[in-house]
Amino acid sequence: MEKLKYERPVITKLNTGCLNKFGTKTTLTPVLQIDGVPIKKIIKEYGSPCFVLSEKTIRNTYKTAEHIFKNYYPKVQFAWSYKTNYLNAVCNIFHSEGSWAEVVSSFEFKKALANGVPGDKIIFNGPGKTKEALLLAVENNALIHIDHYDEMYVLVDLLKEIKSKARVAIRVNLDSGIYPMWDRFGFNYENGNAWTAINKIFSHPELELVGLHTHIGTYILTADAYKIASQKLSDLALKIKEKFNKNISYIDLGGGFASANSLKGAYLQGSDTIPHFEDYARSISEGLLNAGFESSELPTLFLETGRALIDDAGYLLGSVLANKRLTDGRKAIVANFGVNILFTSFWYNHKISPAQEFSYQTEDVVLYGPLCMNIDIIRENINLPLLNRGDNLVVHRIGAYNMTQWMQFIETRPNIVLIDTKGAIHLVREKEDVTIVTSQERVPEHLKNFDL
Amino acid sequence: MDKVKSLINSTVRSYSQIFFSVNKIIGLIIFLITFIDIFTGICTLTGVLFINFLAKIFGCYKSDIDNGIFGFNAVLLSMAFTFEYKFNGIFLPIFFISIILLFLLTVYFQNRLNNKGLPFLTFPFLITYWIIFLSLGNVSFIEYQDKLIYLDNYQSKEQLSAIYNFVHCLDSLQLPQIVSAYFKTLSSVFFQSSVLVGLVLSLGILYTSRIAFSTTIIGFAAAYYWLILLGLDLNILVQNLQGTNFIFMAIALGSFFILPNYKSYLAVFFLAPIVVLFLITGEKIFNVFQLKTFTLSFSLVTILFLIFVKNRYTQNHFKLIAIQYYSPEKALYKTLSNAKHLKNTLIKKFEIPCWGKWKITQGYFGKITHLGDWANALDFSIVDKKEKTYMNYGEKTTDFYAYDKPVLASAEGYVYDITNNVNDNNIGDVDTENNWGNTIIINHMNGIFSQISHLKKDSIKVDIGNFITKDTQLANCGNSGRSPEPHIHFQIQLSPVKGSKTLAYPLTNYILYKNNEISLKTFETPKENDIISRIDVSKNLSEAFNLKPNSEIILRNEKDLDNAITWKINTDSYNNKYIKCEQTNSTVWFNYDGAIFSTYDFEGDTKSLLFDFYLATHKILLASYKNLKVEDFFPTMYFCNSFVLFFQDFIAPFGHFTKSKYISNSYSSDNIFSKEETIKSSVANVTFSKKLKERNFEIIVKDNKLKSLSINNKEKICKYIFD
Repeated sequence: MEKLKYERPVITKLNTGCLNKFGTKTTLTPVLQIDGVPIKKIIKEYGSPCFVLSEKTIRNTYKTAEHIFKNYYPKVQFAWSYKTNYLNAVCNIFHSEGSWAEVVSSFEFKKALANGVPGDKIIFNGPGKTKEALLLAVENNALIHIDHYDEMYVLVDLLKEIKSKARVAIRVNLDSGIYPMWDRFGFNYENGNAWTAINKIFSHPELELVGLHTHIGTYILTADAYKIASQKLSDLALKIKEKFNKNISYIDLGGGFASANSLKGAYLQGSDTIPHFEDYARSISEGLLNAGFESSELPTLFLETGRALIDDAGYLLGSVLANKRLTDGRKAIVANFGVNILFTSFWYNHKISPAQEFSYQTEDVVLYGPLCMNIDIIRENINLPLLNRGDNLVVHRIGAYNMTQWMQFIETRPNIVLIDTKGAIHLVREKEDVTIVTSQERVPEHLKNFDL
Repeated sequence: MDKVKSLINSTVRSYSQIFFSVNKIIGLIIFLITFIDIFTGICTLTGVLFINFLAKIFGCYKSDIDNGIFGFNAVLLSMAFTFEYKFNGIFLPIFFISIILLFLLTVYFQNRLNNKGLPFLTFPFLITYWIIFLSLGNVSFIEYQDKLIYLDNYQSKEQLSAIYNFVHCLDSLQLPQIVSAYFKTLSSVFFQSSVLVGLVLSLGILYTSRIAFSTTIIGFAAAYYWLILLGLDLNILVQNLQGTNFIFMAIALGSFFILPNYKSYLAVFFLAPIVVLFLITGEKIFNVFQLKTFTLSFSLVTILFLIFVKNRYTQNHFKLIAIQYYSPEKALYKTLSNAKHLKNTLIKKFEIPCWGKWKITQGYFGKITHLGDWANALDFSIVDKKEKTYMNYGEKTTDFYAYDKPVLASAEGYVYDITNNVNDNNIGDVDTENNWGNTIIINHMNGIFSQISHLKKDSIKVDIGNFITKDTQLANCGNSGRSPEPHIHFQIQLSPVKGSKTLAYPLTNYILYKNNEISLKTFETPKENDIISRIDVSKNLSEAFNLKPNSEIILRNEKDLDNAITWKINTDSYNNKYIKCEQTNSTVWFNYDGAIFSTYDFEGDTKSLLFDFYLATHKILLASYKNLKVEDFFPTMYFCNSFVLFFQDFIAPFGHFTKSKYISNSYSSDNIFSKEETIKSSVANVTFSKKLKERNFEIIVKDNKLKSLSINNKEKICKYIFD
């Protein structure tokens, strides 16, 4: 018989009243493997903490989304939002599934090019395009989504200078009933700004308007908002057809589809409240199909969904560093991963599972990260079994943003591995060490030596 | 120049038509054979020229004249005449009058029989001969040939002549009886009884068609066998054209009018005794009038069998040759290769009535509800990776993937009828009261209707009388009527009444997803459990290949930009579209339906650039699918080694050991903007699964126009630029 695991003593408040019909058992289940690969094995080989990505989940999620959208609408094209996760391995999975690239900086643009995405399949978004970035985009015949007039002027001047043309779209912001309304990007629909911008574009022969773009917000919980957005963009497209006799090739509804993570402050769990791809697709298709386009002239629907396609595929594996009791009596756990690498814990109450078997006893704890910073709190309150130092934890749904927004702060960043569809593990980003960080540093000569 | 050509064609082909051919070699051979007797030769030529002249000045169809359709009866008549009668003062007027009568009868029979889709064969010859013989045959001023009267005298005299000795030089050879009988039977077509003539004729037939040659052997062997079996005199084969009945019948039914296969060969074998019966009966009846029956038995049996083949409910076993190329090989190879392309003539082209990937949950003759008169219907539903039709627990209609998905028209037409008063069932309920649920019936005109059922209540987006196209959204998928879970029921019918008897009708084209592979299906009906979708047509390719009649294609060789090659696009009287190259007198026929461009037939110079275009664009999917290979094959005679082809021809009715395979793939770097797309195609001759010959093509399409055509022939690359 295996030696029983030591579990520290715990005091549980006895509640009078009816017994829980489910008994005293916890609903927590240990997560021992990802796609058939034991977590202990990954930790043993790649250390703790460690990010894990599931290729199978990425492909399945993408295929599901594509299948559903194509059932609702004849022409659909996804463009992978680089900022959500621009690990080359991840991008290439999406590109191999047929996704284009959506980038928001020349850094991302170069990354997409290096990944082998043809320049004309790159959508260039964002308010911060420099002249150099625009030149790169023009040279590669990318689709440039103009965010503001100054960008348009810079682009026109640039095109005149190099005697070239560019395919452009405009970013439109609009009231789709979502609060807060994101009006800091693009041209407003309701006040006519967008229409003025469109007219301006048509006055410049260097620019060819091929699309209309909006991005109504993030983690959108009401699919109807997309119907309103698609109606408003269709309205613009039809007006363009009427005035300029030009068919708009595509309507880009951006991203913003929610993932099943629970937002902080939400009463219900994310998985119970978020719309399904079906709901988003139905709303968007209703908006586009009923707008009044000729059936042979329907624009292609572009989607830049990031979060909803990748979040579920990412896991963070970590370990318990310490147990402690706080002054108010609450128990606390110090884990070896903090907000430096789990940036999204600022927004979400991440689901965290233990990675080994445990008894039925659980305890409410505060889960801290390892940083010597007061803000390093992963979960303010989470029910976990009684864990010992060295026990492992799995954080779920962390595929979006963490691997791009993470910080090299106090700690260096860990390994990222990918489990492929056959269950093989691949290291897709090697952990950093001190030399990686210091290699970029330059110490002035007079500071090189000191006597201490 | 054209006139001279036409004159030569019409004359030579009048001779070759006797063996159902338009080949000039066999025509010339027959022409020379008629000159074994100078008088016969001159008379026959005169007869042919005269009847073709008549046909021409009285405005008969030019291509019929050029193909010798009018002349071949004249050849037979003239030979029968000169065989029996001597040249004298009265012969000439009677001869010309009989040719005039023959002409009138030819037009009459052509009209009467062609209306029924039948050939007129040798009827004009027979009737003209009988009328002339009965009316004038015994009149004193007509003189019989001496050889018929003084038989023995004549023979001994004739045997002294050099020509006679030459013609009969092989007769004394010790050949097996069946072989010499075969040659003699062949030669008896031209009133000869010579092994040499028979040998030359058989070589001529072999040269023109291996299949026709095989059938003559089968026809003769069958006759030989049956005559022996019935205990009849074998001499019957060489007398008065009687043996030729078997040869002609064998060519006609074994390969010329009916697509040659082992069944047509068997038919020849079993029709031979019937020809024997006709021969004997004919002899008995016509003997009363001292008339000869010549080719009557062949003509009657052929017509009898063709009428039989045509007038059956199911056209199985025997297939009539639709387009006559005067070559059984060509007809067979082209029919096999064109089988699918010919379906482009279907009145209506139906597509899948929805977007995206759908699964056929119940196909034709499905076991659940597609029974009896309602067997030819399709049920569509959506499934996930685990082949489930629903998510969560599948308790609500909204859990089902198919529910609320847009439903489209499958082809253009008018909305004829709408039912929209049935509530959607809860899952598990079945409304047998309102079997079809909410339904739209579309009138596709030409008497064809489609019915789409089980729609979501109040989701219908069209009104009665609306004109709709294949992209129009009609409604959303629901769960009304006899529908335990949301799905689309689709059927084609010949009546506008809801729930009419269904009609089996293929879908024009769709993409099939199977085992992680995709393939293109054209004019097929999807099977149960197939996962299919519409073709995502590329506008760029679709526009580029939309070749409009009355326009031109101009190409220039990359290395020689000054010289342009011009092709004309046009339509023929059957509205078939074709591309014609005047310089090489070559024609390519093509189909275009927006999603597929295919060049389905070629006639002309196989060394021309147009032939390369035909090879390159045999079947092109006008959509960009990276891993989709469109496969097809060419008529075997194109792109085949002539040595290999010679042997293939013999066994073509039974099978193929060599094939000219075609593969194409279209791929674009960009599918919504007018960007460059590349079509790669290749043709390879595969003999006994070994690649003998290969040619690769690359067509570049840019900005909705054909840009260039590259031909890679044995590592030699030629590039042509489209203007």
